[in-house]
Amino acid sequence: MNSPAQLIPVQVWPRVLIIGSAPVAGLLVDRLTAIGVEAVWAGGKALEGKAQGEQVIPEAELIAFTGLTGRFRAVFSTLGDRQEIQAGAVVLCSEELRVPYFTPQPGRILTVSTAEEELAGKGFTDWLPGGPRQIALVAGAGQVSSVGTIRRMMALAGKLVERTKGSVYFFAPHVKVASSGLERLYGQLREKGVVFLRTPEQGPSFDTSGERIRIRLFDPVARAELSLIPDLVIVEEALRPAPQLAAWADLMGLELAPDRFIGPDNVLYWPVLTNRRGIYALGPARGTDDEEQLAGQVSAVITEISNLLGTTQVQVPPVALQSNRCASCLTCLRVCPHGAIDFDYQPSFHPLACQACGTCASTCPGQAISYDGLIEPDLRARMGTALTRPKVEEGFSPRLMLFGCQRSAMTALEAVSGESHSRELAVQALPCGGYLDVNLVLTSLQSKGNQPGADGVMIAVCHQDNCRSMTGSPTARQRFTYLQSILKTISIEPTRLGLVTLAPNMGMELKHMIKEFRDRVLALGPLGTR
Amino acid sequence: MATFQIIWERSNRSNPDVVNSVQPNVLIIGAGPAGLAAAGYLAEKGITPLLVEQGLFAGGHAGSLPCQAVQACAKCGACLLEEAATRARLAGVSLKCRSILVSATKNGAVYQVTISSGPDYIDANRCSNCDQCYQICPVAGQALIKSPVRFGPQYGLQIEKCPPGCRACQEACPDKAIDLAAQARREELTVQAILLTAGFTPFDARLKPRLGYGRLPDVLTAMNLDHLLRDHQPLVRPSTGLPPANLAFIQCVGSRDVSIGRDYCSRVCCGYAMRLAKLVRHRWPAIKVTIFYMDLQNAGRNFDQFYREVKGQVTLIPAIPGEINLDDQGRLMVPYMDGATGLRHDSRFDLVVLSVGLGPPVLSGLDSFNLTKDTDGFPESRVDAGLWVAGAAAGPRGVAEAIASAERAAAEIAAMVKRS
Repeated sequence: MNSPAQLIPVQVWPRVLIIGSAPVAGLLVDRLTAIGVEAVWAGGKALEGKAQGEQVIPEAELIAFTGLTGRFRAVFSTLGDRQEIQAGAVVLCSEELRVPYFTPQPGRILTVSTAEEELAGKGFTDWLPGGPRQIALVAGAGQVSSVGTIRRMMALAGKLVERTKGSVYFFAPHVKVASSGLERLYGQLREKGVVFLRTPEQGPSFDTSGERIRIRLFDPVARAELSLIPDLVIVEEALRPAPQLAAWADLMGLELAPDRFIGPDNVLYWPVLTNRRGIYALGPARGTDDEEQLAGQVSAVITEISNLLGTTQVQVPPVALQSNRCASCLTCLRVCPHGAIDFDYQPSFHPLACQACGTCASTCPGQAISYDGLIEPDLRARMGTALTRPKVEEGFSPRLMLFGCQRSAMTALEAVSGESHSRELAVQALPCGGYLDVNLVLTSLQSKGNQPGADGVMIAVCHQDNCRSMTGSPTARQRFTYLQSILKTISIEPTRLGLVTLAPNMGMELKHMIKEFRDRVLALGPLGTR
Repeated sequence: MATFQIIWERSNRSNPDVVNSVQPNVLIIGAGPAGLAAAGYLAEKGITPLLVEQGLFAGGHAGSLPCQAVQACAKCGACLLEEAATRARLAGVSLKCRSILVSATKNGAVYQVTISSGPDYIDANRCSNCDQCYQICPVAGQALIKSPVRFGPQYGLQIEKCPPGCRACQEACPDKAIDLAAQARREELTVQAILLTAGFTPFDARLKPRLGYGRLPDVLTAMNLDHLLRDHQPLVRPSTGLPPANLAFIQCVGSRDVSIGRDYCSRVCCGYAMRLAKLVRHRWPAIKVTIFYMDLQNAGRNFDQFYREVKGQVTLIPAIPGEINLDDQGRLMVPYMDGATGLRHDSRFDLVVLSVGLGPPVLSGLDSFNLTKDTDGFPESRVDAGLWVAGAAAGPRGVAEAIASAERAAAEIAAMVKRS
């Protein structure tokens, strides 16, 4: 199947474009500069304090984005001007957008950010004249706290308890401590006198009608209702996707996760990758606000960029265009999950970005795109040897065809390859569920001359959200449904077609699935004798 | 079904060279997801790593993790082990299983290391994975076991579990790959860097005797449950062999516990238990599932939605029971304080699963380096000395994070080796 790798030279522009003004962007510029990589920083706010010689585009707004991996072109509007940047890689670092859990009221309900600013800017006595007696920090309250915000609130609680003679209460349904040093900090704060109180998930009961805020909470240890009238309430803020993320994703052809942050929510793209090779997202652009995770993301981006910028040759993509069949319909450009198609009257396949999923080849309405190494005659030959073997048992034994994604199904199958499968099973690997070709499946059911077709066809692809090409698994499902309707039309039981999803470590499960499918086809009897 | 052979070429999937004639540049200790990913990364950069693994197979703890997907991927990262193994295989990484580092001494810019290997009863270079040994073995699954990953040796023998005098596998092997008289051997090597990816040590739940692990057969650890789910075995109460009506997870066993010196959160267990709970509910909808927790930690992106789904099908109780005993019907009695009333409540469960915490790895052969420990007791890298620590050996983390940290270490190692 795998032909020897053929390498071709590629060009990667040795420059990294960093878009956005999150504090991590500055850190990234410094780290890249330190390893000798040229970085251009297009930030939203003024970027004072950066060393001379660094290339900075202030007040930059992305207005156009073209090009492919290794040679991207971004156009910014900046202070009434236009500026175009060419870069080999792009990193998205939008600033945080924080939304308080409930409306702040000056002087008595503050957000964590405001409290941090005020505490940093003024002496504490100026901040709360007369000195506060009771301060309540409220985390959660109907939403899920993030570990990054809990870290900031704990730091705040520590400072407040040191500087006041009053009491500091920390209300939270869950104290998020799954990051370095937080459990220890939690213990230290309790020793210093911060009182942690578990609230219901919707938060404690608040009464803001009077002049003073009143918080009520049932304390299970005291078995009594606890009532607190704090002088000051500090509320958590949720990290939300910055408004520019959707615009960037649209311009750059990036996938937004269901939470509207950048990057597919897919473990194969963890922690910084996007669906386009060479474009990375981290920190608040990805929904991350914990410093430990952020440090990991920065290192991961540096590693990825070093690899990409150091690339001089890559494998030739296994897809090829037959120009005379191409109608320039743009379908391939639309369906490519990796933004790997360069379109100049006709498509060409960018070797740095192509992930060899074959989605373009199977979708092309003119069948103008061929996929090397997976062709119909090959399938015929396989089925010829696999499915016409003499029967050992008496009676009917079904001939089964399995189309399996190389990544998941084929790896899983290998785990149980020595074990009892059906000997009537022929297997055809697919580079991705997105390659599942309707004709391929129909061909496998068809008898040709004295070669019988399969009695049942099973399709095994990755779980939804675990597909390396994101759309591959859903595409396979769509085509499966379509195939079922075709079978119905031509009076073949649609249940002769099966679809399962699995992960590469599901060998045992796949074995069960094959057995179940075999039983199903066994019950249906041979195809075409009804 | 009788035994059939699958019609499928395996020629391009043979075992890698276990003995490599090229001198390795980098020694990687531990072939879990982190070690495999680092080895693959280095080999792709033209650097020769040698992976040594004390177990029979590559994979580490991640090798026993089941896929936790229900309808869609649950984002547990367990499948990334296979990705890392495939990467190591394609890059031609050398792996020695059943091997430990005996000693390492720094000699100028290089390390002199001694590795003890074997005995290799099954020669992975000769084995063609035909499965005949497994089919003839009278105690298959115990003495003769199969690798959880598709890289490195595919069969391993635990000779102490063999019936006395049995030579069935050796005689059945058509490849002459099995030698029951094989001996351990030692080997000395010179390498430029060492990467420790020895993973974590699971907390020994016996150290919390009141929870009954080891004493009460229906008290399991999350790892025991992993094995059952991965092997697609029925979920039953070990005491009766019957399916349980309900099951409880107890979180933070060996985590967030100053009394045993574990002053940290193990980070992965909450997400892990919640996913397992969903998986159990999916496979056996009749089983009711409860999770006892201290504080539920976030898991992955879009945790809000995941958490809502969990709340819809699992009972969550904010209390950590301190003891488990049997009631007069042989069920597990789990007392806890009810947060709504402050009163003691006795609940009954058929199965209890302890979410054991992640502790630092047991180090071997690195005594001379006096490795410093971080505040949680995990060993720290000594980049100046050419010694890196990554993956869960460097602190509690999941599969995806372990792989990412190993790649970062591998990138630094590659830069160092290329400089020298």
